[in-house]
Amino acid sequence: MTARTVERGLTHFLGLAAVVVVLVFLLAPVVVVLPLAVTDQTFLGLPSGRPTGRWFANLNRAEWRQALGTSLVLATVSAGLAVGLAALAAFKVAVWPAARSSRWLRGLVVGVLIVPPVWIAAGYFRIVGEGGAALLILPHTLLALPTAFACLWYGMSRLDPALYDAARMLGAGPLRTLVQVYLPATWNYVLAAFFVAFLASWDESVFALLTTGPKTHTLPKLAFESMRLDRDLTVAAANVVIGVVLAVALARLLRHVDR
Amino acid sequence: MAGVETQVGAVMGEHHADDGAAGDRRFGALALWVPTLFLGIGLFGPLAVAACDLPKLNRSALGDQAAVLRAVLLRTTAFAAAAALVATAGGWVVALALEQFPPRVRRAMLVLSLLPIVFHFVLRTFGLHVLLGPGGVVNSALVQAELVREPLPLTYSAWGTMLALVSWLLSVSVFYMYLAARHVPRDLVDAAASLGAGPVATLRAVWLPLTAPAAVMLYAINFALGYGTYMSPELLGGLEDITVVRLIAQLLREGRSPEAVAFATLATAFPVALFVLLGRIRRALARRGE
Repeated sequence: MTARTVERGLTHFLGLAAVVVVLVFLLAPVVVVLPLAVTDQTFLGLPSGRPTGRWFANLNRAEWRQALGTSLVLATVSAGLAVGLAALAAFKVAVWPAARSSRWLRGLVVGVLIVPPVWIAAGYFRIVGEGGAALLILPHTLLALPTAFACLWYGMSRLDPALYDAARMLGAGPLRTLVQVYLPATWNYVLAAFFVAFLASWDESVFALLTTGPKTHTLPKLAFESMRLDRDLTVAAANVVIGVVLAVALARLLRHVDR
Repeated sequence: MAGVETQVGAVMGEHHADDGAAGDRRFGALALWVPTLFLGIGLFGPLAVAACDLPKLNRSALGDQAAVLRAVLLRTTAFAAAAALVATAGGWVVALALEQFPPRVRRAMLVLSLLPIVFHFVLRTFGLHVLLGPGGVVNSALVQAELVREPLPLTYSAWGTMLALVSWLLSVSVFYMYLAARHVPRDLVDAAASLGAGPVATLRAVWLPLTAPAAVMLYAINFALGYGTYMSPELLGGLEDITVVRLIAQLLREGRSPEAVAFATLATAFPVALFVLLGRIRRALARRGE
């Protein structure tokens, strides 16, 4: 056996070991908590109770239905708005990368990540007090914008710059070039951007906790309150239902993005 | 690219009267100002409104708490720096390790590593409680194996905050570094192999230098996210492990908005400075890679 073969085998083994360790670390919390959706225990621990469908039945209760509906609508609308804004910004940065304004815009959009959301939430609270779910659209769009922008910027910056010049020479205006050339050419990144923006809103809880009244529920807010105060595990059932759909969407999406 | 050509072809012949350069300028301005205006309303507006409370600030009260604030700032910086380091290094190692697998296996492992993000963070954090709590899987195993006498304080402690932060940041770190690794030109890897370089030499000469700029940027993003997160320290941190954001939330709950805003402004200067510094390092590394 040559030294090169040993080196190759060793790096392969170490790489595999690193991937397995990270996957176990990432998946273990989900694997231990999801089965609680079908047991009757009301405490956090390894699943040990009798099988039951009560947490799934709870999803029919008004507050859970409202929370689920609100979170789905909120995430869809916020993700749509974030992708629209991100598409404009990413197009500007990808087509004119050397312009000072492009660098400025990039810093500004990515800079949203630096400001602690709780500080922004304090400002929203001062403006609107404890509002309804509709008032969450603006902050959710804001929080979803940097990740959607990163996806689209990555996708658009991979296109041949000559594509823009070709479309312009053929008579298309910049807006038409964006809508009819750039977005179709990067459609898998558009879907990825929508997906990550959707998840950013879907999982957001700070604004919901600090700036909405007691009658307004989003799923993460209700999950936080119910699991912390009542040991209600309906959230595990909700995550089984929606998580499976999102996981299938994720797998299909990655197949396209990876090409 | 065939689809792209069709799209380009579809707009052929529909000539517009606008002169190219002026159209570019107009649209460039639109693409710049629409997102900027949105950020002005959605981000800077609320920050400015929150800052209106600053004149009401009792400076002497803030001065009295200087030692506490300094300790909170240092603790949060340490948590964020360590969690960002672990998450970035973990994401980098996994992304590079995935490159040695066939595409189908690689994609399956990528899906598995991203799977946690489709479930709510609150739920995943409670999963960490089940694993790490005093009667949890990890502590039970350690006690049974007689490695420790009493359960380790892995929840409601600094360890809990750290583990929750790493668990939150790691999935996306793997994906980010995976995209960076996919960007590495394959012909460079093939050239290194044909020149007789083994896996370690190729890693040192090709993979690490070309993915380092992305890793530096990822570290800055992870640091900022870890620094500003509320949920991880709130759900798994101890009472004495209070972080910047928990303190801001507590001050807001107590109606001490001026102190909260003053502290938030002071605290945000830190990740901003780090972001600028690491941005420069990233650009320098990228230039060297070219």
